[in-house]
Amino acid sequence: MRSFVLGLKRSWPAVTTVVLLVIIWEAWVRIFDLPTFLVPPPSSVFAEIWSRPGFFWEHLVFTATETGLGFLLAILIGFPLGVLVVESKLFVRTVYPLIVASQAVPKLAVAPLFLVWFGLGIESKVLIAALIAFFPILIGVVVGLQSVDRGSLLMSQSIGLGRVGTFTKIRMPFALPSAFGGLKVGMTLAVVGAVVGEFLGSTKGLGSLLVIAAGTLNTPLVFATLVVLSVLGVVAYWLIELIEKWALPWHEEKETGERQQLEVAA
Amino acid sequence: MRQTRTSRAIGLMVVLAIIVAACGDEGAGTTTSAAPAEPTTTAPAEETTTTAAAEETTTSEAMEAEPITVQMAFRWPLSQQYSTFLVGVPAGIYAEYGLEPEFIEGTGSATTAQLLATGQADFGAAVSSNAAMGVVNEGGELKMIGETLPSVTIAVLSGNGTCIETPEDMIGATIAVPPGTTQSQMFPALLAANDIDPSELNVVNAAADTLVPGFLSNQFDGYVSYIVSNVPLLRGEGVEPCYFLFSDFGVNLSPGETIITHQGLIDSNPDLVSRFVSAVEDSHRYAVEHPDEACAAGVEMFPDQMTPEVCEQAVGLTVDQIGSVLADEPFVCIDMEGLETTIQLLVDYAEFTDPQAADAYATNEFVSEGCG
Repeated sequence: MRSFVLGLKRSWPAVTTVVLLVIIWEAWVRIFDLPTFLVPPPSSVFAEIWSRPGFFWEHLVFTATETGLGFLLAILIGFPLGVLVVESKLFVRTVYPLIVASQAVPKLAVAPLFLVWFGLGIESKVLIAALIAFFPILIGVVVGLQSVDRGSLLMSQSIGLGRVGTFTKIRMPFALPSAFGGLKVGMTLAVVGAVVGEFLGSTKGLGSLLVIAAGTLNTPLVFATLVVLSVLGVVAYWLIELIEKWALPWHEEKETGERQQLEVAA
Repeated sequence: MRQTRTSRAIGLMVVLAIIVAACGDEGAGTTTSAAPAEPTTTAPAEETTTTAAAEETTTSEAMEAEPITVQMAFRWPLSQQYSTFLVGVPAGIYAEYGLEPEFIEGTGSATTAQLLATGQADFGAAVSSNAAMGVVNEGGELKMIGETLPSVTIAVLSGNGTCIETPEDMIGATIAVPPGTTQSQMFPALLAANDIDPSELNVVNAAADTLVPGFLSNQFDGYVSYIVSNVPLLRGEGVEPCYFLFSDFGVNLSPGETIITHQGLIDSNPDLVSRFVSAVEDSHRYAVEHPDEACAAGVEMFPDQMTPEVCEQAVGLTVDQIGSVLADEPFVCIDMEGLETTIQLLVDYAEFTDPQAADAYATNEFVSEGCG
């Protein structure tokens, strides 16, 4: 309860900013009489969501499912590859450059091929989400594993921990904060990937809704869908933060302590 | 500490300056501008060409003056179906009317209508659709000023092992429809007009650029698209397509492809609008009489997007479509009764709200020889 109240206190500046922006947006549209097909007033956007919440919920659940599955797949790919980058010189010299080079390829160009190869069902969307999300997870793991304290590694050698023991008891705990950073980025990118997949072929989902709304010039629906999509992205991000706090309580305490010290020094 | 802060501030300003410099010349929007490879005037553009709205001239004066640059936004990316417009450049038709067209690719009638409504193009191509006319209902001051196809050439295409030639043939099949398009809005109308229960077939959504590869890889039995661009593409891939037009089975959107413009240009330079309509008609007539030249023009101007073989078929299909009205002089006249029927179709099946009379969306006043 206390942390919930604290969370609310911390978020009021952001909430206030959003409310102010919405008020300015509404006033701007009304004062300058902007046509709806260009910029709808926020009141019509919220009315769109309010009038049929079940409709948006159905599409949200569809996209969230693709996002979740794609994210899990991205972890299954990104984590082991990140470990391989750190542990295997051969892997670094052979496969890793190809992985890095592949990141320069626009996923929007590759996505239609996924649809052709894997069909119009959920599989292609999950794969596109995983393709977009795995790289930041990989990098987070690599950076984390490479930043392990040298003294701790020497200590593990001196007490005879062995390679596996060193990895599980020293390297991974050290790497987890950075890995979670990669997970947070990866989660938001998984949302993007799921939507990209739906752009290209889907009967449901927020991406599919965006295409239909844009094609029929239903700009309030476009904005309403974007709002729902943003909420999905924020909730997904917070979920990872929550898991991070549970998995790394010592890291949270350390950061809070450092923050307090800085505030005192200032 | 002060030196560090100063360094950081300077560094941030440098980064911001680089970002502003890099972004400063980029235009907004998703379309690309494709000027003809061989302009009809050799004068430097910035010295002699003027914007369309800035100068009002009569037709006779136009032939003496330097050509006016006009921007024409197509509905889709450049492809062979637009050869009928493009041939007018090397044939000197646009120049005769004192015009120098600059062609912009589009991503659907909705985008084209928005471009026009925001003044980012002078003319556009759009079908008589919910999106294009919806812009008018929302206060966008657009007008259809001529037609280049009498009816929309939307069809159900098939042929990769399954030949669908009537609506009833779709029963039990999987048909792909691009969402948010005129095709997807009119597909329920097709089913209703032919007493087909939607549950009797499997309809899937697929983006326009995935339709052909998806069809060729047997993801679905057929798909809904335009015949002029798709039939040649399929033949190029070794598939002889089967198809049936919506217009042959009770869903006739008329007019088909239209030229649209915005009210600002009509008010400031009606003569220019009239000249453009005449130039487009003459360009289409020329393409019908010289299909090889039409294809050569398209391929020469945009070699990456057009091939001679595909172009010949596309021009042939276009000629078939406009052949029925070519005898009319002029043929760019919009069928207002047909438009009223289209408006009702859109109301019934495409959630088109607040419909207005046909003359709120279209006019024939800029067809120079008058319409019957």
